[in-house]
Amino acid sequence: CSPIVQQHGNLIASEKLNEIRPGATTKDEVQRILGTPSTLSTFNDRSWYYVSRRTSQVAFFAPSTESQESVAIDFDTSGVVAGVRQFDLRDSKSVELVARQTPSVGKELGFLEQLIGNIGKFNAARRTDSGNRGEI
Amino acid sequence: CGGTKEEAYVERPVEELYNDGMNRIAEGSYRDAAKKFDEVERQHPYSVWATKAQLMAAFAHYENSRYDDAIVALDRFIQLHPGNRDIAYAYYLKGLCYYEQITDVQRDQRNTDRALASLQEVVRRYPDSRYARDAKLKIDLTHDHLAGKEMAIGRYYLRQGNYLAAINRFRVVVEKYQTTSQAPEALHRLTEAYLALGITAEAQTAAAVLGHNFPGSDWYTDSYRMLTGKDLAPKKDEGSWISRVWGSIF
Amino acid sequence: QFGQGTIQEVRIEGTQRIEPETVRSYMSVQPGDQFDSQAIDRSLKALFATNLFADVNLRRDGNALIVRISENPIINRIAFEGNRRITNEILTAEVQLKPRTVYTRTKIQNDVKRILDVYRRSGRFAATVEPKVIQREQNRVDLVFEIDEGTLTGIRRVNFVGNQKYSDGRLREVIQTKETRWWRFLTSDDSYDPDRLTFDRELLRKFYLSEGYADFRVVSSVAELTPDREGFVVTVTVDEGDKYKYGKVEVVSQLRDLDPESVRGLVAAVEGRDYNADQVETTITRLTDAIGNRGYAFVDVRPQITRDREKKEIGVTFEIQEGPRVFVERIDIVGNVRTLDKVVRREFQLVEGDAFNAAKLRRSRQRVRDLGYFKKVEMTNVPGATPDRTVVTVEVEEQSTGEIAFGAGFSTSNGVLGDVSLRERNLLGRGQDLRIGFSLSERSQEVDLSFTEPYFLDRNLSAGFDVFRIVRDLQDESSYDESITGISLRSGFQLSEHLRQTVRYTLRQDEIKSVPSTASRFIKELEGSSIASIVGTTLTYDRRDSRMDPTDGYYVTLATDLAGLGGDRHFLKPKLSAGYYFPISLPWVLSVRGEVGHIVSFDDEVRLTDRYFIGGDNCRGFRNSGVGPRDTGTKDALGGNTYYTATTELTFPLGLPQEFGLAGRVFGDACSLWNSDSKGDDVADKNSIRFATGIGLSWKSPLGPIRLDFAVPVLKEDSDRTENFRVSFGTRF
Repeated sequence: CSPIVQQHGNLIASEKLNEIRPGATTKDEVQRILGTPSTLSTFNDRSWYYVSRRTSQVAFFAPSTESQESVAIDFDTSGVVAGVRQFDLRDSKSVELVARQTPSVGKELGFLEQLIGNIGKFNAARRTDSGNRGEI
Repeated sequence: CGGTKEEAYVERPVEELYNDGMNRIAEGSYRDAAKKFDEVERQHPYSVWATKAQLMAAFAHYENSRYDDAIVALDRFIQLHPGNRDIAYAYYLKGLCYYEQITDVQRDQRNTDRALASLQEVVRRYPDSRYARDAKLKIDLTHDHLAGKEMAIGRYYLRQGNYLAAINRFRVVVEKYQTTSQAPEALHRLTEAYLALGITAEAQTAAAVLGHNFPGSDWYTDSYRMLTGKDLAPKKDEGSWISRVWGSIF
Repeated sequence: QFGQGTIQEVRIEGTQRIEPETVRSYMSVQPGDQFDSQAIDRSLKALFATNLFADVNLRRDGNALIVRISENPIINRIAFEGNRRITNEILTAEVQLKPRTVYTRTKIQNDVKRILDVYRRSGRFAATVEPKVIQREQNRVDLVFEIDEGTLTGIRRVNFVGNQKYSDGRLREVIQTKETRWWRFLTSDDSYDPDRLTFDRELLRKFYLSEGYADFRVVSSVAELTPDREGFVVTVTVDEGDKYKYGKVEVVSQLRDLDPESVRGLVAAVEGRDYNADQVETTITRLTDAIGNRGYAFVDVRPQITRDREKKEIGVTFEIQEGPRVFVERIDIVGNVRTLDKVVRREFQLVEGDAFNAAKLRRSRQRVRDLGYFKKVEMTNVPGATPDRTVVTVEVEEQSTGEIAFGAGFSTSNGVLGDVSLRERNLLGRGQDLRIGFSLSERSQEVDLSFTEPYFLDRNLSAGFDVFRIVRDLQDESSYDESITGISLRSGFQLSEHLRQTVRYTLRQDEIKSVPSTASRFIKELEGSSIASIVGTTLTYDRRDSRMDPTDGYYVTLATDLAGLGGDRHFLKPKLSAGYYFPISLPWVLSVRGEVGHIVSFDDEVRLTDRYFIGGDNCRGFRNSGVGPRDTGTKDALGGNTYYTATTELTFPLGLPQEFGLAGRVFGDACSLWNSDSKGDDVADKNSIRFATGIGLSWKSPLGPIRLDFAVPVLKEDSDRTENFRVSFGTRF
């Protein structure tokens, strides 16, 4: 049975990338040629990123990443392309995700209440710590 | 078969009805209290008590956690008596009605948005009323909740290896919800995602910002450890098999 | 007409319920403004817009602006009279006016219209509504809607004009509007509804286009009221035009490196064959999907139709172009009050940041709908932050996925039976399935608990466990009672679109008890309990159009059980079953189904309870375990190690309208069971073929499916035990 191949994100075709010339192309031209970037640099607006990923999945096995291409377009202060950086699967660092999560408040449906409550209309049961109710 | 028969339509003096309502509230039988206050308004719509009764009916519905009825009654009160001295409380109670129905981050957050909108209205219209302070507190919690939703989806994509989707979700938290308790984790997750993409420069900036703003947070220690290579060893051990299985079911 | 000067004071007169400040807050003119008629006019309009006031007039008294208002009365009570068909609750919900709200004439007119709409939707066009207003003291009013429902305007007849190729009867089956008949009490399709008539025009057009009539059009569809105003006569005039064949069919690609020939095979339209609009549609979806999967994110397939009236040919050119380059900015899931976000998100073919592809969005919606947790799944996409970004919003409306099902029924093999099951298909909104079932009948009692997680380890790999206890009375067949208690762990996954594999491990204890002294010696040896630890796997290739009542396609299933990793018994038990359904011309369906099974034992003999027993449902004309090796003395069935069954069945309608759900069946069942490990001269063990033929009736009654089979065994062994009549009726409510 053949694996299912899926293309995610925005894969930049190489001939399009060659149209970007550092020191000459401006932000608007990059926008026209490559389209809106997949994501921006978080803290300075001088880098645009185009990220893509190709996965193949066989039956129930987790989809494996075949290729992961990212292109970074760096601009100088006047908005002209300063440099182009490319990353692929070889640059990827193996990362062990931290399991801890920041807790967030909100009512979890109790087991029985959910089993019974769900038959018919859902009544939003009260939250325990509803803070002060204010008085009249 | 049974079912509540429509109460005999009895005309009663307004004070009697109103006091009946107040007693019901004291006894804690809020359903009857709400009925009594509705009667006050129905039979004596022009008495001074009618206005008060509208608000009390809403309060009774709220206590009985019948939020939809409470909100309908409050909306009518706000439309009819915008100048009333208890109007700030009406807006505040409406905010509480939505706030009480906020479910956990994995589920529909429309009530969170509505709670945020009505609480912000309390702070905007009546900044110096005694409800504004509690409304501000609850607004922060609502922001925290909306950030929590973005984080949950971001973590889902991160676990799947869709780093681009994850990064964009965490960026929403970092840009729109910097003051919430989720921000440190968002910055750490950005470090993780950028490292997985191989864009180490961005990872380092994210970790630096995290260190600068939240030096004591555990998330910074995680990022720091991850970046300084100790943790970058290829050994990809995602916790024991059992815990992974257990985690995915419960 | 207010002259000049500044307003010193604004005085409000005539307020009863509404405070003067409220009136002032709605007015745009405040003390200190100039007397300017436009501004005052705007205030007047603002006050009226609040719907609170019956009358407002402004006049000048010196330098004071006098605002004289009379408030709209308040509604005290609302009542409906004369409504027999539609209950008060429905009407109250439909009507905007509520007790204690403000009464205005416009709201009354709107509510009258709303009530009439409700009646029109249920087919009563002759209904009339009279609102009556009763003044009460303290400016309050009671409101009574007097309703005259009129008679049900049904459809007396549906005539077709201009249809030579297809009979009126055939076209009546195509459209949804039905003629009023007494037995159509269950449906409202026979009531007059203009929207349904326009929908019928669309159904006719789709039908003719799929039959090759490219020029078909509905000239007119007119409904006249009969003189006695009791019903409508609908006359549909059609112009069929001629039947077209396919002319030249081509695939043209403007995508740089896509060779059209590589996708040519997917084109359903074939030159020379009859033209069929549906085929063009399916070809477009197939092409878009296939090319989309090859990495071309932005695919747009457009059919160019060229019509040749002389040769009656339709030429179709499928043009493959590059669609607009748009990316998914966000996927927002809304309305999931109970279901977790990830349970919906994991069904998505699209990930945030991906190229937007309509085919993938359609398939994602279909997958979310197939979950069965939602009444409604709507997916809309609106432009995102920039023109080449789009935000996909998934609006779901949940339905109750909890089921408490009570079943009752009767079958000749088990007698009267009843079952209760509590099931939750979306446990805690996590998409997990939990089912607790008890089923009791005269001859067997069963309790089982089953849990399934569809996305084990976040992959599309389902995993689950069952805990079960079955107590069966098999005194008639083999003079013993059996009780089986056990647990099983299972997991299943989709290998390809139609190929599915499940793997199972079962640990169970079988106990044989209350064996009478008259039982066969083979049974007596069995008394006591034994443990079996079985690893099993099933491979299913399923191409049927539906699992419940298939009318087309085929399936092949290979199930093998290996017992021996521990436990007392060691055997290999493969079973192959296949079925083929052939729709002769719907609803006539011919089905051929067969099964063959064998047991290889690694002990000295196969334990009797593990053997195959044939007869009853799997071989009609014979009683339960009526076929196969038998102790000639005590008449106890001893089961066998090898068997086959084959059944051919023709289902046909009984000429009654299909709403009745009645279907007749003619069938022939062949089977055999032999090679029993219980050997001896007092054991009859023959591998001859047994055959029975018969007729049957199945009825999807409002209470539940009922099946009656009458079979006559033609080929049998004298040791077999036959049975002519089987009935089974089950209902769940």
